[in-house]
Amino acid sequence: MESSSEADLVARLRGGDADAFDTIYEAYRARIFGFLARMAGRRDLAEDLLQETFLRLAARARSLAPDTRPGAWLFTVARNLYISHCRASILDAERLDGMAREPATGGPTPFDQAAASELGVRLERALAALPPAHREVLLLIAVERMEHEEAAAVLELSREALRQRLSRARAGLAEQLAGAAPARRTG
Amino acid sequence: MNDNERTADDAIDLLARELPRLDVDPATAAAIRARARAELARHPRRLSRVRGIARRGYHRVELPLASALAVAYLAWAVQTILMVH
Repeated sequence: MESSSEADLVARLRGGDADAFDTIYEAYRARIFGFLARMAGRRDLAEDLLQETFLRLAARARSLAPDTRPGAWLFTVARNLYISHCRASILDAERLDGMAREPATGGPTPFDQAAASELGVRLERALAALPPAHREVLLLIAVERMEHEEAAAVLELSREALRQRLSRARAGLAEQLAGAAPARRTG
Repeated sequence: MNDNERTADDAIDLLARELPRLDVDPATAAAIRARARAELARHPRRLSRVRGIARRGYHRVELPLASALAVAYLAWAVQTILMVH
């Protein structure tokens, strides 16, 4: 989305324009849902958090700053809601990590069904096997094509910390994909 | 660029190109949109307006108030020193 059209949309949204809201909703719904689903590992939770994210956008539309970037704002809110959910839940860090790893070792996941190809399934499983901190940086930068500065703001990291985390995440993903490669390709 | 870096770059390119798109089903998407639009249509809450007025008022008086306190404290400190000597 162009920054000039984003500014126009935000200006209209600040005035309570429902069409502007719809445009933003259509542009970001699937992207935010994909991010949340891959972070949470559950479609139902991702749907709840998606709804809460857009309800917050609607509730706070009139108080948005004129220079708000809708994408960065939505990803920040979605991520914070997911973190709040994790903190509020009774799951401890070990169980959470275990949940994130389940798709790598278990049977087909809801995401496997969405993946049209064997490659898609391998990618979903490799991503799910990564620690959440690595997963989120890959989702924002590789999948969402977010600028490093914007991603650093969403993740509340310095640019240097983001660069280091991205480097580790890339290496981790490559390792996971190599480990999950079909037997015919590895010999 | 060494082999490890090249492999990592390949992996990230693969992720960018091939990761399947996920979305909610149309009925859920429509329901969320309807709830959010209803929220958007609600008038701003009275409390939010009061908070906004209070915030703007505070921003206006913050600098003069802080300046006045600093000057008053400085004056008191100078006066105390002069009284001692």
